[in-house]
Amino acid sequence: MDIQPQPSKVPLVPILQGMGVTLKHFFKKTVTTQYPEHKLPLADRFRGRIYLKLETCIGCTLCAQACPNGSCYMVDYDPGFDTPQNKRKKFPAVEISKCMYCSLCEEACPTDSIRMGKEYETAAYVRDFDYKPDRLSQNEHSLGRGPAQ
Amino acid sequence: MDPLATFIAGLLASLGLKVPDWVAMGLSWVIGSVIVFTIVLAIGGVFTYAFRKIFARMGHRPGPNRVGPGGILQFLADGAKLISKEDIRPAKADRMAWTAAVYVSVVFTVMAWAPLPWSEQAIFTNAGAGVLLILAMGAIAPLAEMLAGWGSNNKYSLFGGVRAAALDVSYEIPMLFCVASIVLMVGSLDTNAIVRGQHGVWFVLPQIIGFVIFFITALAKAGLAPTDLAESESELVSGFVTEYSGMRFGFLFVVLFSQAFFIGAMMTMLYLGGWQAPFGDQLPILNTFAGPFTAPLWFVLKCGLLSFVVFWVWVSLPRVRVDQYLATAWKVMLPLSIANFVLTAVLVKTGVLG
Amino acid sequence: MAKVDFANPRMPDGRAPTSQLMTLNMGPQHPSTHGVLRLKLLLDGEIVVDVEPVIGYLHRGSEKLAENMHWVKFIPLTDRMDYVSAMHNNHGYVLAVEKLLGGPEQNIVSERAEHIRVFAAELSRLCNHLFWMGTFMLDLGAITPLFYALRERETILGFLEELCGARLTFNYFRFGGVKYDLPDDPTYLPRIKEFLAKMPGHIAEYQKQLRQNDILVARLTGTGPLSREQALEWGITGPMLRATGVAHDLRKVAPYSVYKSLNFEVPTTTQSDCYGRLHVRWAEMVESVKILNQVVDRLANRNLEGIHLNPDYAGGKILRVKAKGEAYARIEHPKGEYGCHVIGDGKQNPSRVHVRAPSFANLQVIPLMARGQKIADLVASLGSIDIVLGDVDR
Repeated sequence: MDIQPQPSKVPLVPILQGMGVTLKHFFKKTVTTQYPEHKLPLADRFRGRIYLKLETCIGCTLCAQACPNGSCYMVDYDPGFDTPQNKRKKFPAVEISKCMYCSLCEEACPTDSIRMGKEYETAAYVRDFDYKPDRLSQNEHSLGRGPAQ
Repeated sequence: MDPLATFIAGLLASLGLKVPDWVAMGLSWVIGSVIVFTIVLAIGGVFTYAFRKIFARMGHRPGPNRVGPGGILQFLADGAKLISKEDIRPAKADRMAWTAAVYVSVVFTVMAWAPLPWSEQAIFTNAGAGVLLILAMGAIAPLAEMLAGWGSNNKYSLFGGVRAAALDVSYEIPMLFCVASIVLMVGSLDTNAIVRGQHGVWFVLPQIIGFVIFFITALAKAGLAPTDLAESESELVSGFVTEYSGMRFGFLFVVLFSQAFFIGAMMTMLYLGGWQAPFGDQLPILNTFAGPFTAPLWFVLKCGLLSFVVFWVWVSLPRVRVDQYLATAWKVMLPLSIANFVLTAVLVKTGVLG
Repeated sequence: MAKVDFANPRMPDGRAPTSQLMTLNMGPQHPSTHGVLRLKLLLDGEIVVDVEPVIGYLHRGSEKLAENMHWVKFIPLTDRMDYVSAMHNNHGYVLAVEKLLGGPEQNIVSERAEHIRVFAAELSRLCNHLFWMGTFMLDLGAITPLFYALRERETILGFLEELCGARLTFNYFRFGGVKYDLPDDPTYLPRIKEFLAKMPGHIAEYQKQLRQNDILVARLTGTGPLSREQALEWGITGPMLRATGVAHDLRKVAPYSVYKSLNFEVPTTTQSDCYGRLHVRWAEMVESVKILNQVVDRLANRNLEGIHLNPDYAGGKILRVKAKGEAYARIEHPKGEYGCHVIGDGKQNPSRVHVRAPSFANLQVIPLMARGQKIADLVASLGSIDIVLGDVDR
């Protein structure tokens, strides 16, 4: 398929046509969403910040192995309740500021304990983004930083 | 004594103060300058908001909408931000030229506003040759741009300055020919006389070629997109304003936007009947519906409409290339404007016009 | 890329310059170098005498990083090479590794997965061309087309978010298929059909605004010329090559995935300047819509066999992928030919990965295109190449 661009024969007319396009849009409704007040609906599969389910985590370290940049790593942590499936009490911790939301940890997890949530407002005034298992199992709201879900 | 001085003298007299004429005159100059300056800055400021709003709407966005109702106070917030910013002077800048450029730009822009007839009486400098004064002030623009371009000691700034000067000088000539055609029809350089001369028929009809050429040349001279070659962000970062920050940049920015209104004002004065109401003869109510503010209102309305067109062109069109646009000035605009001038002269001489 | 002798400059025709030339450093922080590209310019007034591109400001060593990670972990890194059309980067790498895993005789990807791949890739191509058009027009000083282009791009990104959960760095392709099947939402494909029906209208709208605009035609015609011979000599691919009249499209020439069974054309033009490239990309957008229509019809109507991801490479097994041998896969990336060369020695990690990045290969002709033209033309030429610095530097 060969295209032959055809410049217009009459000068100025295409310019006015183009200006007609912009003027038409001037009277149309806006298409943007005003962010803090309105939010776009998130897709079901949206990959937000990582959550951990302490009750089912078996401490198999697959998530830490699957992490491409080492933001997910294993720590010793006592959740305060009995975890028969995780006797060595090894749980993943994630450095959220380093995490690139690729979801490979979620994919590798055999028990679906680590998963990508829908929270994306993880900004905070204090630079402590090293989420240990306790914070990893809470949402941003209960951590007192993000807005209510 | 001009009307403002008479008014001030009267005001002081009513307070029991008898002042000599020269004091009243001096006071009127100071107050008048402050008023013009304020108007220019206010219009420039409001126009930054208006432009962003128009641009946003044409791009499917709501535009500034956070500060004040509908974002109307955005320009004040921007001004406050610019004032509070650090004023950075490049270490190796030519301090004199770099500083002077902002003052030259602002002062002569503001001075050009003085002879604008907002109504028959509301005119700050009722000089007999008001049009000449405006054009003279406009002719100084390249000086500011060259000073800024040279003084910044930045190659991008220098490019911007040289481009601005080349563009200004090239487009000055067709513009002068357009204005000369009008002057030929009116027989006067007085701004008010030009407006009065359009009673009945606005000059946009007999001077339609001049109208179009004037619009294009004025855009080029003011450095507004699509002919913002002196700034042309994608090529020269910011052209001659690259090295300015804080309120110095703010002033240059406001001056740029006030130019959009000034183009509208010039064209309203020269071609669209100035402060006269359209169909004023048929519908006298149009001449009086807002009392003494009717004439300025018409003037501002017409200016606003033309400014909208300026912004509309700005956001719709891609930027021209400098050599092509200079060629257009000399090869298209100049012959056309001269032809228009000669045609006008012939028609005036034969009594068809004027 | 040729070094420019700034100490003893020469004019394009080899003469010694008659006036003093000016050296100008453009970038890495410049509005129109599309990221952190640096161009050292030698200028005679407004005229560009010579250009020396300096790259590497965004070099992250992705290819070296790949040697120290599992095979699958490199997929999210490919997203970050050409972040404007990440799906294609995924595709190239995944195809190369699949050649090692399955070999030519054993097809490990189901037909359904192949269709979903083409579907995702073509949506990504639309995104890329839309974004290119917007930024190219921004380089030329027209500011509204960007917003019209982004309007459509946002819709597409919404579809892709529903498909894979991310809007920019998709990490969607897997060895043996794709990460997710199509969304369960029954309105998903109909909504895409609806969008695809509107898309030609949108393209016509951009064309109405820009195609014959006198300023644009004056600025683009003859700008950034690149002859057919030059393009072939320098290994230029993609729309840049097709704008010189060579109908080279890997989807036709060396079909991969299911492109062989799809009906589309390869737009070319002989007007090998920026104006021609603009038209080629517009036409490619129309062709992409055509392909997408066919793929969506097949996904919706015909019950395509197979599942989206080969179970041998799913779940925790993604880390157990081991590959041996050497393979090179190439795909038609929106920017040109994207090639991925992988060498494995039977371990869990590749021993070498090399990416032939289209932006990198296409960028090298910028001196040819810009010499003897104005600075404004240089900016237009650079924009017409469609570079992403993440792809150039990797």
